[in-house]
Amino acid sequence: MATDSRRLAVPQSSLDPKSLCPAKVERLLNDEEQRLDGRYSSESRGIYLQCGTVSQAKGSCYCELGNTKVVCSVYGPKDVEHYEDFQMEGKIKCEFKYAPFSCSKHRGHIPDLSEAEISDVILQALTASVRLQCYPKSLIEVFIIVLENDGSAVSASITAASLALADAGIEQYDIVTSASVRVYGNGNFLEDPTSVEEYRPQDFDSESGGDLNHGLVTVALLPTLNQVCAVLSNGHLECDVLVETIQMCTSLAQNLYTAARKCLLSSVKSVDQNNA
Amino acid sequence: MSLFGNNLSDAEKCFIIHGIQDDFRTDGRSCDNYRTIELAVNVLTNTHGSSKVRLGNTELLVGVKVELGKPEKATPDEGRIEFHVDCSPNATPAAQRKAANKDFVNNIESMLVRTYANKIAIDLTSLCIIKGKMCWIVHVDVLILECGGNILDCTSLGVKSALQDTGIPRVVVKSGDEGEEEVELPDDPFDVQHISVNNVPILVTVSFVGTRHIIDATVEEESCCSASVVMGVTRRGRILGVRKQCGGSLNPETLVEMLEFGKKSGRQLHVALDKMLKSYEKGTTGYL
Repeated sequence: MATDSRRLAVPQSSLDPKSLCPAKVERLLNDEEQRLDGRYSSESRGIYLQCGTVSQAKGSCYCELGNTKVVCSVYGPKDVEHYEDFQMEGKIKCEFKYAPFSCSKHRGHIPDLSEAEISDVILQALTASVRLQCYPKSLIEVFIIVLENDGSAVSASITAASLALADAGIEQYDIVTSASVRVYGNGNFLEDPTSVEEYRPQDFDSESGGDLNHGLVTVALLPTLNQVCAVLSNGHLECDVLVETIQMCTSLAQNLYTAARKCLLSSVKSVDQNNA
Repeated sequence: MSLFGNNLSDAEKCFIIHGIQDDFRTDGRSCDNYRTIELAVNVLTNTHGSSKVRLGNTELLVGVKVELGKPEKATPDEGRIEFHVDCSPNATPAAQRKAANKDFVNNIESMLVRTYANKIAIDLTSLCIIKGKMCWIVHVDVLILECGGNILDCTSLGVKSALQDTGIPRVVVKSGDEGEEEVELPDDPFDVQHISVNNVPILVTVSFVGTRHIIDATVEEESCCSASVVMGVTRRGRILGVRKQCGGSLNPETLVEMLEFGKKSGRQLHVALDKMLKSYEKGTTGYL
């Protein structure tokens, strides 16, 4: 286990007391087709976006998606570190981190494998939208921290990161918006899942021999160009179900465009007012 | 992955992209062909299962070791499978740069974890010996010997063959003194049980180069690739995890085509691999 000697030592292994309770088999949809929080399957939670929340950063964005709360700040463009090769294109560095207290389970201070993977996916999504040729020899740093994880943290982070880049005045082809859909059994698509609804390896119907589809799909989209710039899925899905889910995510991400635009416009307006 | 690409000039890239447009790649393959796959299993004596795969210029060794351990508290009736990938500077000079090497290795590990983290891929309950007390922990170690493009597909082929080859000692649980259970190992080292690999996924990387999608890209083609999709495909054609790689974007219709193409290729690859493993003789090399 990786440890950081500069930090106070905590027990090497600890246990979430909740995991000792017998696991409740909860159905995510009741007989009236309602989810645990009372939403219907094709109902997303409200999104709140605000730019310019971090005063020290060049650009920043705060995103709330139900109880999921994400802060993203952007620094740069600045000089690349001296040992890097000369590059005509700029470089983006992206760091995604769950705050140690953000999930039901305690998270370590050092990014684990899944966080490194998500950082990479977000980086690829942003690389598709940023006009890197405008920033030769420069580095743009994107830091994302999840304060509270109640599902769909990855999609909230991607949207927030793109808006933070825009807030920092980094040239982009388009804003990136993102959405997640949970596939729950055959024919149930839960839009914008909460943390309880996200896919876990235990989700398996032994009676049907695993014939049902279960999984979580996250897609990031460049809405005006209609280009997909990130896809991430887990679980087990038939190909046609996966395709259908991706299409669903795409249209959900498309719907976020208006909200993202509004947020950027209002942040520009408030800057104007302050200057006046 | 582009970190490991060699520096091609624009003219060279153009040549590769135009070739792919005409369905004729620099090594003579068409867009939907794999390079020749050489495979040998049971190559390492100190492991419980092993394999060596060579795909074009990509070569790697997979060793599986099983050890006794304690199950996780949250899943007391399941064993564990753990992946570790290692890439030395022997494989590619870029591995000397620590940060780049770590990203590269994490990328492979996380995709393996993503596709194996469900109950379809592997039955972890079969690895449990005494509920809550003892289970088998399967360590899958991948050592990359040479990087020649398409590492992910090659790794998953190696992992599947090594897991198929893995023999877990058939232990017997006996009740000892004071109601404590005791585990007894068989005397015969060949008294082993095998892990079921029927639904183990194979990773398929479909890369989009220029205007077409290709399979099994070489290093040169990877450096021309604008976007690629990696997917875990089971023998039945189920998809256990998808991830988009490289910094480009894709048209939604193209993405769908790529996914369907990947699924088809993955199933063919499973069939070829199973056929080869069935007729495999120890000490030889099989070809897919």
